[in-house]
Amino acid sequence: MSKTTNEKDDLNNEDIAIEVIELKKYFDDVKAVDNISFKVKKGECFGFLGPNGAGKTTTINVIACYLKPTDGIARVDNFDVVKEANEVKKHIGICPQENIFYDELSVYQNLMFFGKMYNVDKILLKNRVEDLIKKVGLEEKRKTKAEKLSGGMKRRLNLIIGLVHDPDILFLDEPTAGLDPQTRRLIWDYIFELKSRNRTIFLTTHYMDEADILSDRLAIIDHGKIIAEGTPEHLKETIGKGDLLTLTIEGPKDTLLSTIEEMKNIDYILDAFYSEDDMITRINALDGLGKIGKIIKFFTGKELQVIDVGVQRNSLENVFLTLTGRSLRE
Amino acid sequence: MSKRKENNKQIKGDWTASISRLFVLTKKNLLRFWKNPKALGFLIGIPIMYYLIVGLIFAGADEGLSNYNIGWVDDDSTSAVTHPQYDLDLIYEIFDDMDEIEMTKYDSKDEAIEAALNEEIDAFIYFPQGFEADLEDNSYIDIAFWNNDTSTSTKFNISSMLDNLVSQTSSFFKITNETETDLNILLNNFENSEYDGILILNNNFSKGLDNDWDVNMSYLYRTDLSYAKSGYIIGVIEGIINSYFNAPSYNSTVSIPIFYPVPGSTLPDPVEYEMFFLQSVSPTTKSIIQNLVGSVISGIINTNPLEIDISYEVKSTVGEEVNYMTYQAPGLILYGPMTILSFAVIVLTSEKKDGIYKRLSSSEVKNWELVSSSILANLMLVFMQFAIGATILFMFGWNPIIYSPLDAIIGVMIAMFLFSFFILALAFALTPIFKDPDTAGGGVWVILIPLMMMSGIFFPIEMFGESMQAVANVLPTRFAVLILQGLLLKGLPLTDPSILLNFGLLTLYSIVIFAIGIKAFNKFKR
Repeated sequence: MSKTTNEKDDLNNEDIAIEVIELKKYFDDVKAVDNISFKVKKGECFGFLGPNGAGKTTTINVIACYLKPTDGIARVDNFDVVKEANEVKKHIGICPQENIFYDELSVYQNLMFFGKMYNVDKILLKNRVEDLIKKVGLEEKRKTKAEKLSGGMKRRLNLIIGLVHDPDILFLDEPTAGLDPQTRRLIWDYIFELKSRNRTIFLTTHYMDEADILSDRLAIIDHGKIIAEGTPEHLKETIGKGDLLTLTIEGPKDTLLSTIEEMKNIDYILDAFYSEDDMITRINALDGLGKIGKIIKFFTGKELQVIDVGVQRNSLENVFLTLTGRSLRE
Repeated sequence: MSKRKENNKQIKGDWTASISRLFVLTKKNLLRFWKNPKALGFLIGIPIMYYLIVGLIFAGADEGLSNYNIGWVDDDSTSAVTHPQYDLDLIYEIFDDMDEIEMTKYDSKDEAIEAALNEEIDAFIYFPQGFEADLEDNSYIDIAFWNNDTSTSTKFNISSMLDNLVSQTSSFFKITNETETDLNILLNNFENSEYDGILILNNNFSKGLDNDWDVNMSYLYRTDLSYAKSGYIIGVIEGIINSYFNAPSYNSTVSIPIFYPVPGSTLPDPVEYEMFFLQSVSPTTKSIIQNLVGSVISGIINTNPLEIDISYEVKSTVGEEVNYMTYQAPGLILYGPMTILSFAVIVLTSEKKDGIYKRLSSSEVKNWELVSSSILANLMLVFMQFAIGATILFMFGWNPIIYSPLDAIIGVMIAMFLFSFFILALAFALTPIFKDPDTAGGGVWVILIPLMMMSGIFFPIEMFGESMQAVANVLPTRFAVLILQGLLLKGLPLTDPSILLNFGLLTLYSIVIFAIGIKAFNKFKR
């Protein structure tokens, strides 16, 4: 599958938060990351999707200076992750997949501890900690030991620890994994707020709806290679089963059937068929919503009358399945 | 189903569920244990190693008893003429022939003390002036004879009988005729008298002899003189008297069947000598030497039941004799830092396992900061342990023998710092080996047990066999023990060459282990 791009090459250096060029990370014979390149704009939420073991976390670990790349370049805010790791660390915050904090310390103590690890001014830190605690609804738990928190609260704590030094770029590795819908929504709201404050977010998630809603752009990685990149809309328009159009059409049945057969030769039509049971015509079309006018015109041009139209949009899940042959949870 | 049955079912259900959970948990624990070869090895290996080391130490103890150096100071110019076994030169020769000890003669107590302070000898025996003469005096049983017989004999001469008895027993009894003394006065003053017993010739003794009756005497013995010893005395007297009267015309039997202890009577003072020990000699070594020397001297001198009460006084070469706590405290102080090893390794492995290092790696924290903070935190714990431990030891009678408070405080602080640093360096080196906290918790004891047991903290290394002593002498814990014993038990100054040497060796060990530990830990942390 060819890589899909849009507008990424038009960026100036000042606009780039993360730049990865031909990055490789090998563990002995295993090519965890194999020659990937991408750019993340400042202030955007960049979704990084891939099945388990695709190379997502390894990529984050390299960009976050935890692992040294085998080859290639990775820059954060124009700082090289190998040569200028200390500078890079000042600009990034990480919310790891696992809850990483000290169980024995309270919510407040954990935040203060990690904040101090980033040399945040004490008074500023105190105010920021109070603010973060409030924003994720942990006010009543500020003195509670982390080990006593519920799963959702722990995730929230895990998230805000990554924000305690107010980083420009935030890596969120599965931030809502295993959370109830309410807590997910709370975290999404907070991510939206971060976006509104022009923070760059590098997001990996298993949830397609989450990637779809939160990501401005996203890349799909599999077997260490990026296999698609673009905005969710663009990917949905170009990859997958396309939008599903359901049309109720009146007119001679023979004409309808021959028109459907003829329609299958159009490049954006992936599939089309007529169902005898409910007498509805179903059409899978890439960017079906955008092409709906053309499709209706195609039928009316054949003396057929479209009396009802339904649209079911293509999903990222479909895009992902088409590209990787696997669902994200496999 | 009835209500009762339903309730029963509920109860049974809860129990079944509990037992089921218990079973699953047990199986899970066993599986975790079984699936972890290291944990398996450590949990089985540690007890084996423990018994091996204890076995080696105590098996070696039999071989190792040959190394006691004992001094001999004979200040006695008297001699026991009638008892050659009391001759101190003879006793010295017997000691000198023993494989277990190395004997050295000194001319004076001061000379022997000097030798002890130089650690040339473990202890010395001091015999004061008059020792042999006292033995000689105490070698006799003093018996008062009191004739209560108002009858007379036409056939036998009681006076001759007494002369014969005195003559026959002269080498071990001193029999004095006290018939002229009032018996009541004799008994009332018995406590203050030199007599061990009173032999009373009962009334009608002579008449009985003439009539071929069985006759008897009475023997009143000291309350605290043993019954067996008194029995032996009576037996001897009975035998001699019956032998004296043994003639065809004599058909009587003399017996002394009844013993009367004299109330309130006490034994004379025992014959004493002294055993001197250096304060730093371990209580165990001390006990072994005391038992050995005491039993040999007592055994040579006392060859029959009429044993002389001989005792020794234990003294210290310098100052007061140290108590067990004072001897043991320098080693016990080190126990705290040693337990830090286990704690430190568990914490380091836990932080790795929990991803703390990974999370912190994206912060501005440096490796050396992590390492230093770990060392500092643990050092604080060590010094806290030390403060608590020292307080408790003081409460239990620890009375450190120091050169000066300044030397002791500075020296102990440096020693504790160096030793803790070594232990923490060891923790960094061991962390990559154990990898996870579960394994580390048990695994560190593989290292701790030999460090503890072979350093002289719990057992004096003099007890070990030669090969085990050689191993013990190169253990870093041994250097720490020697430093603290020097500062807190031997009263050495901080600048004493032995202290400085051990400081140097401990520092060298710490630096080498730290270099290895940090390299391994940094690799592990990633």
